[in-house]
Order: sequence, then structure tokens, then C-alpha cells
Amino acid sequence: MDFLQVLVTGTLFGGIYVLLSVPLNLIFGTMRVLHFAYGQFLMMAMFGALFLSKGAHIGPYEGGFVIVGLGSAVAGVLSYYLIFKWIVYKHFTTQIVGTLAIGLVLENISLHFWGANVQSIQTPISNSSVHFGGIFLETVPLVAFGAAIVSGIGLMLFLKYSRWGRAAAAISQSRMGAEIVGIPLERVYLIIIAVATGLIGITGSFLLPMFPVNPQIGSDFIVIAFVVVVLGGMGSIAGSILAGLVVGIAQSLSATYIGVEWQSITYFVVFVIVLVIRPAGIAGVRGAEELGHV
Amino acid sequence: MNYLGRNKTVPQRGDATLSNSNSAIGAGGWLRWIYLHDRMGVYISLLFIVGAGATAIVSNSDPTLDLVFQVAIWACLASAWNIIGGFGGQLSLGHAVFYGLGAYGTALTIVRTDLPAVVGVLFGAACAIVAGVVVALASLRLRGPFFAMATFVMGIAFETIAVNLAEFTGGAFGIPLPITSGAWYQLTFEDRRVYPLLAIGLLIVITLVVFRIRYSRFGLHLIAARTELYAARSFGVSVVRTRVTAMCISAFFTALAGALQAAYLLLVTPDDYFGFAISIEIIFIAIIGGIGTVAGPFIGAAIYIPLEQFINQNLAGGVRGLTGFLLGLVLFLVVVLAPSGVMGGLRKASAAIRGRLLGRTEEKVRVNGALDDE
Repeated sequence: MDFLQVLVTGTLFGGIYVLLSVPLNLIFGTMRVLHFAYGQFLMMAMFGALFLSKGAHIGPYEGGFVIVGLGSAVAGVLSYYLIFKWIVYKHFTTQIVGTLAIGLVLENISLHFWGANVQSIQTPISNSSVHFGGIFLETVPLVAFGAAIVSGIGLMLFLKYSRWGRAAAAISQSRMGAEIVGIPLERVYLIIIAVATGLIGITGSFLLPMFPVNPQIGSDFIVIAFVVVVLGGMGSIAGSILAGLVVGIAQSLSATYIGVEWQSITYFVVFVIVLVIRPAGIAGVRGAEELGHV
Repeated sequence: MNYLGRNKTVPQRGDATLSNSNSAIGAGGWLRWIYLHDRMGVYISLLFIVGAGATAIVSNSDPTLDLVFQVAIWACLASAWNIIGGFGGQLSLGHAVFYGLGAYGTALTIVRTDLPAVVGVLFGAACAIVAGVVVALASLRLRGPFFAMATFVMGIAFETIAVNLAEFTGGAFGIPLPITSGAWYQLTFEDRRVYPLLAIGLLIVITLVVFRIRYSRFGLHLIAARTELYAARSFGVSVVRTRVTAMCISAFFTALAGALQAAYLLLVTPDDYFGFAISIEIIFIAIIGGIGTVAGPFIGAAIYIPLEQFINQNLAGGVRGLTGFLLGLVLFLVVVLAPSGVMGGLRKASAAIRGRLLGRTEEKVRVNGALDDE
């Protein structure tokens, strides 16, 4: 029973890691830009949800996630014109260092205005838990898990059935081919950035009740997101979902049976093992890691 | 076949027939060869080293000596990074790992054993080489953004480990080093001028090594593996071996710089040595100066370090986060607008001036920046 409990907790956190890594993977798959400012975008979204909750008394669960999500989508459109437009066709070093620089800017802006202290919110469901069959589940991760499932399915439907989603899928298969058949690349990029950044906003809203936010938290999240994306395979949403669950369960198991302080080492170990055995990841295209693009 | 015979006066920069003509210039003539190929680089490096050395010898004020020391150390770090990141084109975001290993190796040797600090430096450098092999082997199948991401995660992993192994590394508070009597093998000196001079000595060694690599067969392999991977492979270049070797050389010198910094500052903390900010700053300096050029890191360090100290001391006092904000903003603008850095601009300018003076306008301006491949 104890083992089952660990497994279920791991699955819940795995779902959260899925939520964390899917937008990153979407941006990389479509635009081929490795978004190193991703963690800082997430941190900004969490601060947005925090101020919405404290200032306007709209908690993340009381519609706050919709507002933050929409606000983030608008910020995503802005970020396209200010950042991504200038780096999308550049050398990968420019892309990585450029987004890193933007992350640094955002981190220091939030440090300047909101200070380095850790801030958190209380929600009506904080500290509550549900249990069935002898397994206790905290409500907050459970809700985040639900949000991960809903947004994951929504995203997959969007990519499969909507016009823009299919255009994005075509671009990720072959940028040149997509351009030849008349897909307007820039407009698809804009929409994908808006969708992905909106998802970051929703993710941030659901993470806030679990993780107290401070300006430095972005780099913690981006490491997890990277590990999940590499494990699942660059550009593969389905791979990310599987990999998120694997990392969550591995972390939960190691926290229980090895020690809590080694929890954060677990995914580094997972990461190195994946790199050595199958660098393309679970569902990634083999050889993509060597070509440097999908 | 003989390259020198074809064009006696003006050799072309970055010409791949270089290694064939080693016999033509004779043994030990490589310094002259480098001078013929990269005059601007040689002049800038000489100017930098002589200027820094003279300042260190003449000056007797602590802030100036500190500035010279830091400029020299960061020039060392950026030069070492440049071997794998610039010439090799493998964007390493984890060079703080080697810097930290050098510092921690030295600090732990001093604190935990009775061995002299010099042994600790060697120990730290050995650790860094081992880590370099591990990092390179774990990520050698990765290219481009994948390599960058792998080294990024490994950098964070080392920082986490240094914090978590608190009983061994002192945790987040780090290791304070004891002030020992001034013996050279303990790396403590009564005369504060010795530290900058040591750093400049290290810089001279690194500069010679980098110049030697850049204009050797090995360096050409490294650059060929960056610019034309498949062509290089088909010509029999062992890409893996070349990159692992480059990574080890880079890691070794980065660790030496870290050890020197630790002996100078007498405090080793995870944040200041393994922190991701260190890796970014190294890359930033290389990018300002010009990635993939020998003299680029010198220019970058000479611009960045004084500017950073100036902002920290005069402007950022009341404004929290200003330094990082400006750093990020400038980094973004530089990398988007002028990815080949100051060296790229200087080369273009010199080619334009030469074209104007000598009327050779048809000559194509060629900048060997790592970001100009695609």
C-alpha cells in the first residue's frame, strides 16, 4: 500500500512536469528555438497569479488561471515581436544566448520590483486532501494534474484538428516544405508563441499554490522541463507526457527510498542515462540530436 | 602544394592548407606563422598582456590590482571556453563546473589535508579534466542546442551536489580558506602584486596554447568539425576525439583559473564558483569580444569587467538588480545585432581600410566568427 501511495504521488507530480514541459516542447518543435527564458516566463506568470490573488482577490481556481493565461498569451505576442522575430532564423548560439539574456532581464526586473523573498498564497483547498482505498492525495497537486490532462488533450486536439495546429505540425516536419506549400511561417510562429505562452500562464497559476514564488525559481523549473523534454524526445508532445510521468515517479521513489535531499539529483541521473543510452529520447526522431534539429 | 610559394606576402586567414606547409616554415617557426596569419590578434593580445602586466607592476593601490587580476582571470576563462565553444562550436553552458572543480579541489586540499596548495591546484585541474571527459563523452553524440542543454543541466547538477554534500563541501556557505604564511607553494603572497602577475602568467600560457591550437592541424580539425561536419568526417577527422581533447584542454585551463581565484579570494561558495551566472559571464565576455577569435576574449574581458565593477560600485548601490538587467539587455542586443563581436567589427573595418588604401575592393571580407556559419 505504501508503494502504491508513492507511485500515485509520483504520477501526480509527473502530470505537473508534463504541464511544465509541453509549452517548451511546442516552441522548440515549431520554431526550433530553445526557449531558455522559459523558466522566467513561468516565474512572471506565477507572480501575475500571485498579484491577482492578493490584489484583486481572484484566486487561481476562481477564474484566475483564465485571466493569467490570456494575459500571458498577450505577453507571448509581445515577446514574438520583441524577441523571437529577431532570433528565429539565426544561429542556435544566438537563439540560446539571446533567450538566456531575456531570462536574465526578466529575473532582474522581478527582483527589482518584488524582492528576493519567497511569496505564496493560500487557497480554499490548500492543506486539504482526498483519500480513497487507503491512498491520500493532496488536493492541490490533484487539481494541477487535472489541469495538465485537460490542457494536454486540448493542445493535442489543437495540433491535430485546427488549421493553425496542423500548419505548426507541418512546419515542425519540414520548414521548407511548409513554406513551399504556402504556409505563412511568421503567422504560425506568432500563434504558436501565443498558445505556448498562454499555456505557461495557466501552468504558473496551477503551480503557485504548490510552490512559493521568488525571482530565482525560474531556473529550477527549466531544469525539470529540459530533463522531461530530452527524455521524451525533442518536438514530441506524446513523448513529453510519458517522460513527465517517468520523471515524477522516479523522483517520488527516490525521495521515499533514498532520501529527500537526493530527490533533485534523481533527474540528473535520469538525464545522463538517457543521454548515454538513447539521446533522441523516448519518442524523438533518432539522429535528431546529432543533426542539431528535429 | 607549397602555400607560401603561391602567395609570399599576404597569407589568407583561416586557410586549410596550413598544416601541409609546416615544413616550409621550419621547426619552431609557428610563432611567425601565427603572426603572419593573425597580425591583429597578436597585436591585441600583446597590448593586453603588456598593458595589464605594466599596470600590475607599477600600481600599488588595491582596487587597481584587483581589477587587473579579475580582468586577467576572466580573459583566461573566456579564452579557455573559446577553445570548445568558439573554435569547436559546441556551446557549453556548463563551464562553471570546471571553474568550481578547480576552486573546490584547491580549497578542499588546503582545508582537509596537509598538502600544499599547489598540489590542490593540480588535484582540482585533474578533477576538471575527468569531468571534461565525462561531460564530453555523455554529450558527444549531441550537437547544437542539444549539447547546450545537456551542459546546462550538468552545470546545475554540480551546483546542487555542491550544496547538498554539506558535510564535505560546507554546503551553501562554502569553504573559507585559512590565511597561511607567505610561502609560494601555499599560493599566499605578502606582495599583493604577485596575484595579478600570476593571473597574467596563466593568461600568457593560455594565449600561446590557444594560438597554437588555432593554427595547428588539431585546430583546423576542430573548426572543420564545426563548419563542415560531414566533409570533415569524410576526410578522416575523428570528430569525437577532437572534441573530447578540446573539452579537456578547455576544462584544464578553466580549472586553473578557478584555483587561482579561490587562492586569491580565500572563500569558495557554490554560488560564486558553480553558479550558472559564471557560465553566462564567461560566454558574455567571449561574445562581446568575438567568438572563435583568439583575441576576442581579451577585448571582451577588458570591456566587461571594468564596466561591471563600475556599475556595481557606482550605479547599482540603490537599484537592486540593475547589473543583471543591463547585462541581459546588452547581451541580447550584442548577440542579435553584432554576433561577431568587437573582433568582427575590427576585421571588417581593417578589411575596408585596406580595400580603400590598396584598391583591393574585390577581396571578400572574411570573418571567422563562430556565428557566421549559417
